[in-house]
Amino acid sequence: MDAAFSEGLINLLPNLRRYALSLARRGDVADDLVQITVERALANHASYDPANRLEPWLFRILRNAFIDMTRRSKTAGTQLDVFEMPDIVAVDGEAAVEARLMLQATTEAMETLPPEQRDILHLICIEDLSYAEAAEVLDIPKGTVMSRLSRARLALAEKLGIK
Amino acid sequence: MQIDDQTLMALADGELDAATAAKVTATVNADPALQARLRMFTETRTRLQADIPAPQPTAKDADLAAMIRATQAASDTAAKAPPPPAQPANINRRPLMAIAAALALAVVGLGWWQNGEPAQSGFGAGQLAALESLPSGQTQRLEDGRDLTMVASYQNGDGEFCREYETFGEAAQIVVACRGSDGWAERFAVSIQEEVGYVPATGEIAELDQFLNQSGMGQPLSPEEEAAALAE
Repeated sequence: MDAAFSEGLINLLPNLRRYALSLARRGDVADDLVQITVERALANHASYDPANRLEPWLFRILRNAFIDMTRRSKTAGTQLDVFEMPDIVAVDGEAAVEARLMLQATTEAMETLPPEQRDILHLICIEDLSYAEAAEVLDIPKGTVMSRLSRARLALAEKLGIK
Repeated sequence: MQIDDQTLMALADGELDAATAAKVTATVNADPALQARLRMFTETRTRLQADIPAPQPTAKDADLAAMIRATQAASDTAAKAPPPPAQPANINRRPLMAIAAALALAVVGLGWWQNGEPAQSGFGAGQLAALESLPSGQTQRLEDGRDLTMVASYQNGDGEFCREYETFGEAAQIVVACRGSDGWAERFAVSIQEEVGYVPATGEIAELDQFLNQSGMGQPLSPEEEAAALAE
């Protein structure tokens, strides 16, 4: 196993957790997802092509783990609790309060979007994946990535009052 | 030029190739409606990047990082070549063959036999002394004027201490003897004679190797192991 691979994996743990939270919307589930992702990444590191970026490869593993988990919990009839965002650290001052409100507005707007739109916005606008990389993660054609992303951007803009 | 939403979005996201991007930008610059539309795509991305909390390391990451590093360390160890086999007591595994090769001798007429029954006493005093004490790689003169070179020591599948040696005289011999409860017994011997018109293909003696493998004597003992066995 390549040392660059394991260091890359370690560096991306926070990003994996953030993506897991975006998908699962529950901290404990997100932790499980990251754990599963790391285990699968280590077990299958040989199938990772170092010519590509590590991010899409890992996000895809995580997303597939989430889909597996969702299938299982549907079968088990388990209900997921409503996700609670962890408290955002804020400093005193009006600007901070305003920033926090805006930040909350964006977060809340994201929360109200359909999961598939939230997912694609997260991968491309937050994690900076290319269209091709997102297509890989989501296992859909690039054209579908573009139409879905475009719809998601319009929906988000409307919620945030961006014209 | 007709520009749809997806093309504008691709421009905002830097997904267009340079030539297309230049053309689209030129068209957008001439059209305020398109500019507003492009801004909407740019702004949504900017807002998301600014407002969604940056990924924060957590205590759980440390546990996972430790697990990843441990796996890495284990993989590094496994990836290393298997440890080299113990240095044989005699590095020059086949002195006879080496000499044959060096002198371009037609070494041949492989007459070999393998003793089914331990022939206890076939050894002269010199051979017995060599078996008991001569370290591998060393040569000693026998009473009859032949030279005996100890090649290697082994432990066979039955746990017996065995030694391979070669003698050089008119004919050369390779012998493997093992030390059983009744003393030294010859277990394998092959004599090599010069014969005109026959040249062995390689420096290997297939029968010897076969015998060694069948007897569980794959790896020679190290000098330390040999010394310990000789001291017994």
